[in-house]
Amino acid sequence: MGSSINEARTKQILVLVGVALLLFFPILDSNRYHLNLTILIALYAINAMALNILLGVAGQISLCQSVFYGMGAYVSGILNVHLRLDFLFCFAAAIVAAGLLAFLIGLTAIRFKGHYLAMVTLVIVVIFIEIVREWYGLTGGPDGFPGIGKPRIGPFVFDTEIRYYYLVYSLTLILIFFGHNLVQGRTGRALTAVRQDETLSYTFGVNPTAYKLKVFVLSGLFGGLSGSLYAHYSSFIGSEDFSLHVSITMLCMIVIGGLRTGVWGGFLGAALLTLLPEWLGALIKW
Amino acid sequence: MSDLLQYLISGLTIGAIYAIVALGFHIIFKATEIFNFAQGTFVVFGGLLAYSLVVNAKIHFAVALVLVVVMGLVAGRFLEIIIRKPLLSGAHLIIIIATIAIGIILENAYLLIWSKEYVPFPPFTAGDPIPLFGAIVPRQSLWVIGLTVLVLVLVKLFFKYTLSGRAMQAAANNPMAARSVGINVELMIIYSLAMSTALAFVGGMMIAPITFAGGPAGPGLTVKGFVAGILGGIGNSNAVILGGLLFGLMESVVGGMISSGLKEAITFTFLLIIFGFKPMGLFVRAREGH
Repeated sequence: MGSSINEARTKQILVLVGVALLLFFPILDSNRYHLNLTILIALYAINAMALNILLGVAGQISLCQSVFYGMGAYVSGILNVHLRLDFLFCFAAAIVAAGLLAFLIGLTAIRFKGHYLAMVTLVIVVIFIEIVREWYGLTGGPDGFPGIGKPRIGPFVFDTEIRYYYLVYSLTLILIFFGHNLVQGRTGRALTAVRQDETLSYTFGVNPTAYKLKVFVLSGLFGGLSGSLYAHYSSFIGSEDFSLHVSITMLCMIVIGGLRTGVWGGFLGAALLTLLPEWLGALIKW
Repeated sequence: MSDLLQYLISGLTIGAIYAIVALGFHIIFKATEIFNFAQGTFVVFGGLLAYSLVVNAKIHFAVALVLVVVMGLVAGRFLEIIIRKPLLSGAHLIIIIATIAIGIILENAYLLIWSKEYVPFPPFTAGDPIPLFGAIVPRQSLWVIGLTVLVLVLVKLFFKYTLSGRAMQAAANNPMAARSVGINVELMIIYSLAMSTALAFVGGMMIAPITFAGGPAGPGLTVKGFVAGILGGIGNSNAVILGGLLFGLMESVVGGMISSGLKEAITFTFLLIIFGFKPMGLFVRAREGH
């Protein structure tokens, strides 16, 4: 008993140290390039966490996380540029739109398992990218979509990396807290039951179809949220930012960080796969 | 009318390649219950190797074809060495990621070694296209369709009449029982992978004069071959081949008649609807499955 209490204490301390590090990071290191990377890590971590709940906990493979990410980014960008709407409205609309899309895709996807599910979600990416490339008037097609405004809440504009860092990380921490509670609680246990044995889960009163659909929509909401943040941060988006390659990278993040690690593994994987190309790039130049 | 015929001819040509890729998926799936998501990249790689043999080394294309088959068999052996560990683990996701990673590494390697652009590849026989009821048939299309039929017949005969082919089928259908009659199941898996990559390489060489060799075409081919295979019904070689041809025809007709920019989106949306009704594939009976 004593050891488990100690373990819990150690965990709490680790979490506190981690949060404190995140809080003071921009003060310790205000290099804009480093902040840029940490912001990207957070955006990927949100997606990786969604995938980890979907795949690690509920056992549903998805290759279309980048579609939800892209849906959020494009909806937010299009509303902001074409209709000149406020950031908060774009942000909310992006989340709702990606969630809705995930619901529609989920209705098809819940009929499939394993490799077949991988194939269906992979096909979704191809369809999404092609529509984005062809719908020139709305999305800018292959040239990309420029000119998305910096987020603004009332008079306050998130126009520097430091301000954006705090916006992104406060949202990320809230989502991690939410995801952690979700995985630890009743829903998490129900999803684990669905992963381990769908038929058996019925006998516990868990409806696997409903849970699969819910967790799919959740991955859509997370993707939409991070996508909107990405669009307003980089102010330019292109279809390559949301290609199949991005989905695969997100999958690699949770495989490297560890499946079934709840929500933390995705964060480590996102950090590693965002930083590694930068380090290796520097190494090659050197 | 002649337009439609033209789309059917080009659809059949590209469909033959999808059929070969899908058959590669099928053979590996039968033997190991996994999908090799680097299959399309192997097709492009085979095309580039053939380009070096035919254009750089000036070897006659028939000799080059044989050499490409041999290289494909060797490549399959190496593939087996790389994915042996993940295969033993039996975790689907790990294997999917592993084969995708192999594809990405291979693609970057050949883009670096050959060219980032598509490189033109001469047709097997020079000459004007052959007119047919108002449409024209490029000579290379005849080569592609003819060679595909030949390859498929050879594969069928191999599985039906040779001892190795039958042992491979036995090992794929029931590894335990196959072991008990003295079949080396691990060796049969190596054979299957080698055969599948050899098929991919041949496909790459045949299609290179039409689509050009190289370039970042691998992942697209993987997706289409995979989808075509599932459309027909993975687990049944005839169904897989029909799926490949049907997919090629659909893509070509949609591209010509509706929208060339959105041809993939429309074809895939259509397929998703089909999968909703026939999740096991079009050309397999409900119970047969895989």
